[in-house]
Amino acid sequence: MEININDRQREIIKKIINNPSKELLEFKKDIHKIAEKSGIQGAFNTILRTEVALKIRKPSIAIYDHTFHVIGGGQKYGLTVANVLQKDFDITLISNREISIQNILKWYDLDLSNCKIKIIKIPFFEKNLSHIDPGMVSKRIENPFHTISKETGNYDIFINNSMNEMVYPLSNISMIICHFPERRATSYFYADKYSHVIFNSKYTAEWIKKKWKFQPNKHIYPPVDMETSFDKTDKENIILSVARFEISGSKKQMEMVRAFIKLNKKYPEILKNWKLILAGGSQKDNQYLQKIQDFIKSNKTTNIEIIINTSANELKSLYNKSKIFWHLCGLDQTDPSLIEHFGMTIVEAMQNKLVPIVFDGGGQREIVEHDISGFRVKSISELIIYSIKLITKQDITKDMSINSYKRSKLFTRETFDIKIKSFFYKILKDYISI
Amino acid sequence: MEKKIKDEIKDLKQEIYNKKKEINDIKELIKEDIDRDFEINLWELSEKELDNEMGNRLSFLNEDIDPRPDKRSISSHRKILGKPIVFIKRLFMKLSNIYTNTILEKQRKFNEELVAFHLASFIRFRKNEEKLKDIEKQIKEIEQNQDIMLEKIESILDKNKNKQ
Repeated sequence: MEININDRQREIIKKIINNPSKELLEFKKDIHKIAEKSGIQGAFNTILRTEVALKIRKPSIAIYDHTFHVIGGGQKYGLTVANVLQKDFDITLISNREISIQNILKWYDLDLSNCKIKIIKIPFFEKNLSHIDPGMVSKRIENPFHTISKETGNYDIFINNSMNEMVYPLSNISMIICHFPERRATSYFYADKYSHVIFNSKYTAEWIKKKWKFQPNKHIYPPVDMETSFDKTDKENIILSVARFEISGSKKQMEMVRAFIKLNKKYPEILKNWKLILAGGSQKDNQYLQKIQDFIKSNKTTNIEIIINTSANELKSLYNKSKIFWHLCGLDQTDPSLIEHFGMTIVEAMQNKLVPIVFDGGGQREIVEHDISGFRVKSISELIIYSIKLITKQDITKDMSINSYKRSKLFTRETFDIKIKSFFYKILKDYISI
Repeated sequence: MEKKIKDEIKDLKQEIYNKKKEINDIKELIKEDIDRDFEINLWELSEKELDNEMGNRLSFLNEDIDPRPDKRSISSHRKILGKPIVFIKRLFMKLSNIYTNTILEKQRKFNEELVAFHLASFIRFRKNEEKLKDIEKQIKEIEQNQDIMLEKIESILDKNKNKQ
């Protein structure tokens, strides 16, 4: 019967652990045999595992993301994993473009001073300094991501945080953190070659099954830590939305503006002291944002405010003083990738006791329990109905605000840390107990 | 752990690492084939995915319009014997081209027409799609205006009732 590489590794390592000085020569012979039979990578992996089992060094982890150089929720997920594990593991962050520990601290308030950074440029994407998009790669060209695949084999654990299923994992333990399966299994698909597939929401898991035809094995919600230390009980009459102003309009800010104007026209007396604030990041010359601003101007509406590229502190203050939170990403959308995969800003709002009214789809269904910790809506008319309910019935709003806050505890940084630690330490235990 | 053992493991690691570094092919590193073919069920694709699929396939067709063999496709990895082998093969190709080119040229023209036809259909499909999106947008705006109008009518009716 053929013995797999894992069992062979155990056998060899066991011998050298029991009697290092006596078995050293045999160990060397075994390593060369593995190289001959299973390839040089198998031999190298056996040495790596031996070093950790013999406590010669700390286990090493590489976390790769081809988008580490830009700010985003997915990137924060991988970097938080590094932050949690940096004490007990030797961590290297692999990026294709320049990044720095200082920027990570500034962008996400994450101290990664114990981690190393390795920049590996991919020549294919460097030619015109183009956007690193795995979607541009087809079987007609050589897989440019094999530059990274080769690097994966230098660590005990390789974590692919980048929604890039074209990196082949060579390490002893490998994980792909899937924030959403953007492409189907076509050329250079290796997601099923990873020993663990971590997913951020049940919605993502459903699509992994549909698109990649296998069941991912570890569910860990993203960490959200927006709870403000000061608790404001006398909140103001503000409906808040926090989302990027995407040029495609996928976050549906225009629909929210229309809905608020409609609400104003329908219930002018009730709405006269209420304000809608749309906060979010935007790139320069954003036509979609311009369209919204023009629309507000043409309607002579004074109680809608737009705040662009706000600071983290200002955002916290907005969350702190607002009562209701709107999030409609996914409304009228047929493309599943454009429906919120999770919805971090919804949780941020709930951590600050806002009552969320969100689109009934995607990861939003996992966050908001309808009629308990907020409302889930399928249309603008439903959004209007539930908003009026919350605006006019203070007791319902108060109860829901408490429920919303309680619900948000499922998605805190503490919960994330506990899950990550227990998952990794169990894996490490299996790795070193021979 | 004895220093000597640690050092020997370190040396072995370096030796294996150096060998590993020299190998560029992942398949060779693990002595296993890694690439597979996946069938795509077009019926499962979303609108956006179908759109990408159509674009990609069309560009592949476009790249492969000419079925005539390219002399650059004949090469050899042999250092000394390579050159004469390539020369002979290319010569043979040149000779056979006299006969095959008549058929292949006809095929090339056919391929060209076919790709042009597909491109025209694709553009037409795109234009129709845009029209449809415009119509959907107009319907939505009409519906929204209708709602506002209805509300206004209702409020006028209410005012009239109150006056009466």
